[in-house]
Amino acid sequence: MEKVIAKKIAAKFSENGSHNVSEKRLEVLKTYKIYVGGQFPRTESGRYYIATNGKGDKLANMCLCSRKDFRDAVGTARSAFGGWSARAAFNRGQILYRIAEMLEGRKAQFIDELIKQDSTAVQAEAEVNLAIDRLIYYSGWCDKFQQVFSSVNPVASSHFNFSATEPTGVVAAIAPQNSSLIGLVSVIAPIIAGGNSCVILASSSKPLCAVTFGEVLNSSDLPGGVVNILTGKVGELIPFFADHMDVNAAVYCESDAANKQLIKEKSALNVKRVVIYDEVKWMTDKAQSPYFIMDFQEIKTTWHPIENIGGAKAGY
Amino acid sequence: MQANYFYQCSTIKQDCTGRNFGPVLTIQTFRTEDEVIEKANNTPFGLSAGVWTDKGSKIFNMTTKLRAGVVWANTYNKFDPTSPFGGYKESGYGREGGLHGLTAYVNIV
Repeated sequence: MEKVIAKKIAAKFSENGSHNVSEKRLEVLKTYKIYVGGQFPRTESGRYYIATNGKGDKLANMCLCSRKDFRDAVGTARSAFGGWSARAAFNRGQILYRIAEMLEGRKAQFIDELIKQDSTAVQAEAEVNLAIDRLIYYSGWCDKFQQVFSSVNPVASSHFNFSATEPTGVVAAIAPQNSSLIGLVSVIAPIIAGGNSCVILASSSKPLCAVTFGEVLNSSDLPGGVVNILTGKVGELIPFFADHMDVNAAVYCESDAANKQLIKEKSALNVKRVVIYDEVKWMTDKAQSPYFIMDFQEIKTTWHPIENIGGAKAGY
Repeated sequence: MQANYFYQCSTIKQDCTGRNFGPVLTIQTFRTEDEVIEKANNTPFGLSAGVWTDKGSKIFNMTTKLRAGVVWANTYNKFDPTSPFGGYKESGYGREGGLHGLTAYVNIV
């Protein structure tokens, strides 16, 4: 019996290629927490749920966020909104690029998590690559969509009149439930590219990559509070996402008719902008365009009088 | 309702932040630009705003910081079919008029 154990240990050592590690060493497993205000707290509720793969194997304990976690996250997102929206558009582009760089550096970890959550190795690599490319795509649009969607308007009176884009504010989003990374990234990127801040609920069934993506955001110059990532159950949190009075827009990505109706009705309380992405295929090119940025933009029109001095005309 | 004005009313009172339907004028004073921007934005609504000043750079500092769909500078209540009209926050959804008024009627792919 002793011999068998000794053999097993020897086998383990040779796998690791290291003979100096104590045989008593326990692997350090990651504690998946939430990402709020640039920090990684646990849920205030102290509750958790178990994330599993398709076979039912346990992957990790995840925070089961409460209404209070959501409200705290909205408060943080509201504080972060002013500074983020006031940044130069080019600087926001630089930061999105930096997020992509950080994601590229941690590619292996994301592929590993996607495989744990039932992806094949090929699918996992494709998903991570696309998430990186999507961040680069929106990084480029940060200082360009404004020109495309703004206008100078030919009013009949003697006024200079122009319309420009401005971010809507705090966006509360429920990430696509059937993907772990690409759906989350595709929803977050256009929201922050346009200068908004957001609170996003990760996929309940595939939550691992969301928390790890929080670590990527945290190491990429993105100010704390611009993106806040919660984990938990959609059914429990969806009413609060829709009826919070300091949230300016709500995003839902599934086709569940009852939930869509609930979001629309509760959002009417404070005229939230409701955005439903129930038909978007996140792994395709159709899931990225500047119109996704425009879903979270307001149009401000400014009027300014023009004085006509002495009836002067353009002297061509 | 009789014509009224409220002088030096508090923003926490409904007079200044709510929608008063009737001949009501609310007046507040300010000392700095930051203060007036904060007071003007301290409302759940944001349909329109107006700024009066003789300094050009000050106008655009104000107009870019006011959270309202239409901002009139040294003028007020001007409208035109080519100029988008509509509010921020609880003052509405979408725009009427101009290029942006058309977006609700098209499906661009």
